[in-house]
Amino acid sequence: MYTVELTEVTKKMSHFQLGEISLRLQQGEDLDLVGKNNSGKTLFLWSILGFTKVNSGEIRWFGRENLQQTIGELGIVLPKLCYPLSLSPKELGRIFAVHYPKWQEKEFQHQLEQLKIPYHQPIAGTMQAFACGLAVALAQEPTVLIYDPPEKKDKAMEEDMNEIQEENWEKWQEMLEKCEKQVEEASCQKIITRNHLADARGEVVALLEEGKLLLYGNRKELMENCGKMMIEKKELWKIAPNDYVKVMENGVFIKNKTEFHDKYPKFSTETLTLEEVSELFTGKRG
Amino acid sequence: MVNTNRRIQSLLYKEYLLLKQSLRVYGGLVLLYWIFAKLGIYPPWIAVLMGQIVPILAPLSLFQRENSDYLAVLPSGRELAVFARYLTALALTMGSFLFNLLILLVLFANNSNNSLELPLITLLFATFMGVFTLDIALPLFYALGSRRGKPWFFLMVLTPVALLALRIQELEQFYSITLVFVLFFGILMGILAGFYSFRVALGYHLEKDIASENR
Repeated sequence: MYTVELTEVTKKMSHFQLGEISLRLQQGEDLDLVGKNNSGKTLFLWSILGFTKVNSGEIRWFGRENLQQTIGELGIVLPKLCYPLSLSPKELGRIFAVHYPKWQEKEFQHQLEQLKIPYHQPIAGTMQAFACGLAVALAQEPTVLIYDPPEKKDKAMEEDMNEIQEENWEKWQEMLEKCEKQVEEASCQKIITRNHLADARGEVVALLEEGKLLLYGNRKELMENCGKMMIEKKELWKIAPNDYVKVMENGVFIKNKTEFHDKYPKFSTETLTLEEVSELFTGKRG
Repeated sequence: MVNTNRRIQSLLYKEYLLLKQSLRVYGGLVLLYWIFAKLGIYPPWIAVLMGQIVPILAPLSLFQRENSDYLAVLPSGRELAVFARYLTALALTMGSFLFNLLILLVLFANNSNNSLELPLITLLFATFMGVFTLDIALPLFYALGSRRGKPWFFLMVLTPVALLALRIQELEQFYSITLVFVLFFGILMGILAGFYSFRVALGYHLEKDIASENR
């Protein structure tokens, strides 16, 4: 059985389109959803979690179409799902303990301690609210943890906090590093969004660019098989557009060197490093 | 069933926690209105009217995004969350009805200067209005969202209040035990209509695109 199974999912927004996306994530496999800012990662998560209606396609969690039956298995940490600032984690814990059958109050307190969030005091600011969301997600002992850390230029975050300047962002970064550590330590299956391919840790990677799924598969296999085919731009017509993923300097990025070589034996291919692939799709790390 | 009850209770508790601060402020205001009425600054029906309008406004803050969106991830489902919100608003309206009635009786029952008829009819009318406002406001907020729903909500609350205030003397002339029963019956009807309103609100909520502004 698959943890999540998507078949030709599309979602149209006024200025953006996601899809068509098809993928199958095996149980136990960690997925890194990689893409630059505004590549559609968050929209992808909103779509597969049913928070926005998709225009077409099918989504199944644990083989079921009804997400409500399985949502209790998911620990969801998204920037927009911050908790009310007027409540304290203690009060939140009291509420959630009733709703999540596997709720672990001690684990919740442990996570809050690690994230340096006071248990008895009201949540101070959206930064703490986000981190508290992570503590809630981990305390419910989820089968799958879905973690989407906020991005500085994330439109959603700008709406909530206009004051996000360099100084504030540094504090955010500190908190996000702590969160990242807790996420790494969690023993459940994980679906994590990342800005850079080089940061991916999971077995499976999905690379999004402008709402399109460019690469999907086992990270190690992808890295072993992908490469660059040397070709001048004026000769690009010699290759079918579906046979390469992206045009790069002095060549094109290809998913599978062996298959490509069989089809186009005249062209030479070369291996790329993880950093080179990462830079090609998600840019240099700041 | 036991589990569902506990879940509703916990959601009601959450609504109470979110409203705690506002309730304190509103409670203080209502007491102040009654003190002024007792001091004779204005007639008791004004205190009744204000005391009944203020709790209608209190649940407004519950509809803000930060108080709502995360409920979508609860395994209990959105139905319970909407139901708990409806119950909270209804409890506030009916609770303040009882509270105002009690204060009215305690402060003015033996007061020969003020007749109880007008405040009583104002209380019933304001409660009747409050219950129906809630029936319309709940689907309205779930359909339009907190920001866009607010102006309509205020219009809906303040128009009848202004009309009532302007025509209060005429209302007194119509006072009869029949009118009291009619208004009381109207309140009960409003509560029953609330269950239909809850269904409509839930329909809007389930259709709502939480991610509409996200990417």
